[in-house]
Amino acid sequence: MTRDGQNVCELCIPYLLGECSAEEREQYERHLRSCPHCRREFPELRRTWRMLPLEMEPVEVPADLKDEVMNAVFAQRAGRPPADSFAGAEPDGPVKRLPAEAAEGKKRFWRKYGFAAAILPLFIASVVWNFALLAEKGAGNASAAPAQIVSFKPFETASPAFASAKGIACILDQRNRKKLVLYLYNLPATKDSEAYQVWLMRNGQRRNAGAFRVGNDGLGVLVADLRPGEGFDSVGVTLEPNADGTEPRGRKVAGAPIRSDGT
Amino acid sequence: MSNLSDSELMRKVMEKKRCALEELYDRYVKLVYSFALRSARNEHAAREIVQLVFTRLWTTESGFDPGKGQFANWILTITRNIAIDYMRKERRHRGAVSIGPEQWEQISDPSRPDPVDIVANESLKEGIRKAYRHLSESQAELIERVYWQGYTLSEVALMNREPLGTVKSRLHQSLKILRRHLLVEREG
Repeated sequence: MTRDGQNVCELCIPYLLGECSAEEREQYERHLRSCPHCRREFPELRRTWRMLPLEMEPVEVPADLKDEVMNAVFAQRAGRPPADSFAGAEPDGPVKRLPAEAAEGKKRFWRKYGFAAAILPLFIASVVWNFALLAEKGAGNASAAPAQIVSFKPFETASPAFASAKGIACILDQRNRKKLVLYLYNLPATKDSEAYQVWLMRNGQRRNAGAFRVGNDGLGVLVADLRPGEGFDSVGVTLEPNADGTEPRGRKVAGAPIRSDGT
Repeated sequence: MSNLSDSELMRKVMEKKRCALEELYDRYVKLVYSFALRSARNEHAAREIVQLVFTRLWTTESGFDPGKGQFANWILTITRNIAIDYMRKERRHRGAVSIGPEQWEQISDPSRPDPVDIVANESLKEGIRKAYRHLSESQAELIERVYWQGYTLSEVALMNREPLGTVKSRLHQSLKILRRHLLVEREG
């Protein structure tokens, strides 16, 4: 029962979560019919998974919500755009590559930032590792499409407490999808629920782009997908009490003047 | 309307009977809103998620099949899918696994409708809260990330800088611990 050296039984969790490729799904469904262990185990796991919401506390619903919901639902009938036009839609559309900007970015980089050159091999290794992980999840699509670096900028630290931190922010283009990849090192390790949050900034507005944690080795990595039409002028990193903030609350750690015009 | 079953109401919703949708709203909004707020931890987002869920009920073409389980489970699955989609977009992460109600079909076992009464069963609720206490901090956090916040296993692996296999097996272990303690609760 091996598949690329992996036990098919181990697909049960990705299958439960709907994170299998179509091929893996079929493979696991076939397996489920024949493996006595999974026939016992999987229904139990699924049952437990479905009971997770029971942990939530029931809360009172705002009295004005019903009118708001019903108005929105029935407004659609009158031909207005559906409120959930995004639901199930592919969030990313085609994105144009910017080879000129990439070349220019590289030149400036090599001229000005010698230190970052030293960590570039590590950075590339981490990017490769990231995409290997993504490929493992998908049907291998990610590995089939090499990522191109569109632009990259080094981070500058924002306070003496983080003076030894170094890193690069980078925009990758992979099959016309753009990704923001951050790689930082020498960061203080996060404790308990602490997390580093990443913000995309434009005109004083900050948008949350995700969060990451850091262990004793001081390394931090984040990969976030960029959507067309949402540009930014710089990227900031803050250290926060947890990963859930919608606004920066904690200390500013570092920033990079990397920009995207959203095309 | 109030004497109709959930699935009868849902049939009427598909015939575009507004009062049927309003009745389903009255029956399930507390469940949907509580879930959305627990998941998004933000009232504005929770309100939007509720709106998207009831819009989805109004526009769904596949409908609800009572042979495959309880309506409450179905609406919770839709709520979770929509909440996750919503939060992934907020986070600017690609919705790599865009999931719709059809996923419920995939992972349902038609031969064994789920007997769990997810709404009314107070002892089960108490049981799962007690079972949660047996999870380690990292196990509870993983469930928070994956179940409630909709991060994929790969995203968690990246953020924690752990191998994907480690994350998978930790989730598997966490679910087994919950299951074991739920069984103890029910038998004890």
